[in-house]
Amino acid sequence: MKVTLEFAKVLTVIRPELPEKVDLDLPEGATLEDALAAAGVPQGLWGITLVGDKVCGTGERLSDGDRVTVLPPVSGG
Amino acid sequence: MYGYAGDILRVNLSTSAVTHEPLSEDLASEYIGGRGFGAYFAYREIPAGADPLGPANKLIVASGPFAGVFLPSGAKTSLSAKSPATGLYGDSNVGGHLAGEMKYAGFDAIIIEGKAKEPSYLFIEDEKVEIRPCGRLWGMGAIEAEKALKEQLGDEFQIATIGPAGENMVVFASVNHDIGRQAGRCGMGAVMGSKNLKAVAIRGTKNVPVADMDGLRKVADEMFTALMANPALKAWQDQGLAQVTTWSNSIGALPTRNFHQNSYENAESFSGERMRREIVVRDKACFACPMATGKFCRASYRGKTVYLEGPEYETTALIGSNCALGSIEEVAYANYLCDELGLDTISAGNAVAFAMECFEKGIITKEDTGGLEIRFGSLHAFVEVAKLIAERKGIGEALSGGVRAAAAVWGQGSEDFAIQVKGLEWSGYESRGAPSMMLAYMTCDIGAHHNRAWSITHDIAVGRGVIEGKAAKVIELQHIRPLFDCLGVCRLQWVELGLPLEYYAKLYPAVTGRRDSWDDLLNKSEKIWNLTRAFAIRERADFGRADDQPPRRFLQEPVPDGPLAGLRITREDLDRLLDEYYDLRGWDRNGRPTVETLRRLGLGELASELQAMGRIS
Repeated sequence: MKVTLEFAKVLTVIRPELPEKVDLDLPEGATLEDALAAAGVPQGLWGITLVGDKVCGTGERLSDGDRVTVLPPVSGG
Repeated sequence: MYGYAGDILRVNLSTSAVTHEPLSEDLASEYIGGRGFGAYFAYREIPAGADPLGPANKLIVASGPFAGVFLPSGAKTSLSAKSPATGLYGDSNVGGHLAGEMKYAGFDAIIIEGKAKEPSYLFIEDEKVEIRPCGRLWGMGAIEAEKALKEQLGDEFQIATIGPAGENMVVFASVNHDIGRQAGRCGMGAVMGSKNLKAVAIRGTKNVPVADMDGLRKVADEMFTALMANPALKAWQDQGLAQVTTWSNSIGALPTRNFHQNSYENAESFSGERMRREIVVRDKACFACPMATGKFCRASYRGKTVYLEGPEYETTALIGSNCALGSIEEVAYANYLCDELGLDTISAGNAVAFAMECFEKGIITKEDTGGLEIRFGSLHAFVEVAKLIAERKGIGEALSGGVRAAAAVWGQGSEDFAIQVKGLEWSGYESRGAPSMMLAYMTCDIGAHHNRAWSITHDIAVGRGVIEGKAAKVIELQHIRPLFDCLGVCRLQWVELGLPLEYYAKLYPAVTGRRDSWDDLLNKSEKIWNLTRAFAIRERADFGRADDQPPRRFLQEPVPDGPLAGLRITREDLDRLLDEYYDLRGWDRNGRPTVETLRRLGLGELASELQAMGRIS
């Protein structure tokens, strides 16, 4: 299935080698965590993750055509 | 002067003298506002060696050009003084609605001097400034006193208050504003208490002129539009800062059991989702803020139901996991208690956790605690110890000076796990696996606080074991983040939602009419950073590298479990970090700015003074 990951600009500043967007081809049943691993995002660099406009945990199962937005962790001010 | 109210108010509580001084263009241009004004006046006007809790100390309440103006979250007020926690320069800032109100009353800063003869509050309604007795408020909780003053003066007044901890000069006493927001760090509440000052109440009705209203509106509109379209906004509005708890736990940064561990088996109980579901009543925002990260919550304990703003991440980390409490509702109740007592939740969480560890190790016993069992996991213990601290009774007397002071009293090796730098307790990020974050805590000018530089993601991105290059990242952040405190604007929109810094660079000329570039402003931030360092060097002949050290626990004890099990920071790595940091800053290897560095930054007069004292070369 095809899934698109979009990285927030502030995340690409923290890790410049991340593109703003990446299209992934994942097996059926893949989770958001699988997608992050496939895109090479180190654990701990993502904070909020959204599938469409819904905030989801990394265990969320993805569907074909999903658009995932990846935001960095928050810093407590 | 565009972007400013144009006046500084000076109030001497000893003589009751009230004077106005015009804000000079030079001061506004060079020190910008907020923390910059605080550092400037603290260095110039607080005599070296002054007792932080004596009348010679001064409290500088200041905001900046972005506060109270039509742009996102111009809501920040800085409170600066010589800190009773560290004996060095200290500042703490608070959001809410105080900053704009102060400017609408006509003041960019209020300098409070001396000591009132009796418990008093400062009343400001535009030009009308009075020191009013307030014996009936003395002894009240901080929020209780704010509500009482609101009832008396009217809801349109913006009010800052202290609680019993401030009155009793606990060195980590906070200042409350807006029913549950705090300038928590560095003991600004104790400074107010030492001056017999229970509260400041402000009402203003004037305008603040800006240089280019059309230009400002255009940039501010773009910023608001970008924020409202940000996909993360909903999560922020939903959970506020509590959302960081789960993440912090997953990467091994969550202070647990007095920083013995950095992950907590019960962290899921403190998650943003659980908080929203279990205790949040409604959302709350500061002036002109679309994020609304404040969460009004409800908590019950032993049949008593209370309402509070919070807890946010720091409180959850330091009171929740660091004291090993069991639920977000327990954390919320402890948060409420600290707010009313007027205790900084970060330092209070540290102090109670320190006492819990001392008790469990037998360093203090039931004889010392009056029969109280002070063990990790006990909300009852937290509640009782927090009250003792605020009242400075029993073991609370030792703890009221902070964990460094308590360790000096209790000894028996407790110094090794007194988690502080320069006397200020460590905030919410355990950093044995994050060298740049460790360096940020070690070199923060006010002590162990994350507000000047937050760089854990940098450690994760470039590698936790990497040392080289990390000092540069810390310095970069130490100039950017405090600049927001000078401008009087919240940095969450940039740091959390990724609003580009270019917007703020465009706002500055639109508001002030000055032509400074963002780099020019960063240079001024660097100057202020060196000024606060100079304050410390003037204060203490022996101030230097030894003051930039983490607690021994982080060097001696590997992380016992969790995702970073086995990790610790080495002396060699710390020395490399500090050497690189000092070199990049133009400081000597003892952490003192050179004469040349201070002159480069436009601090030549100060360089000559410190050189004549034999403090720098």
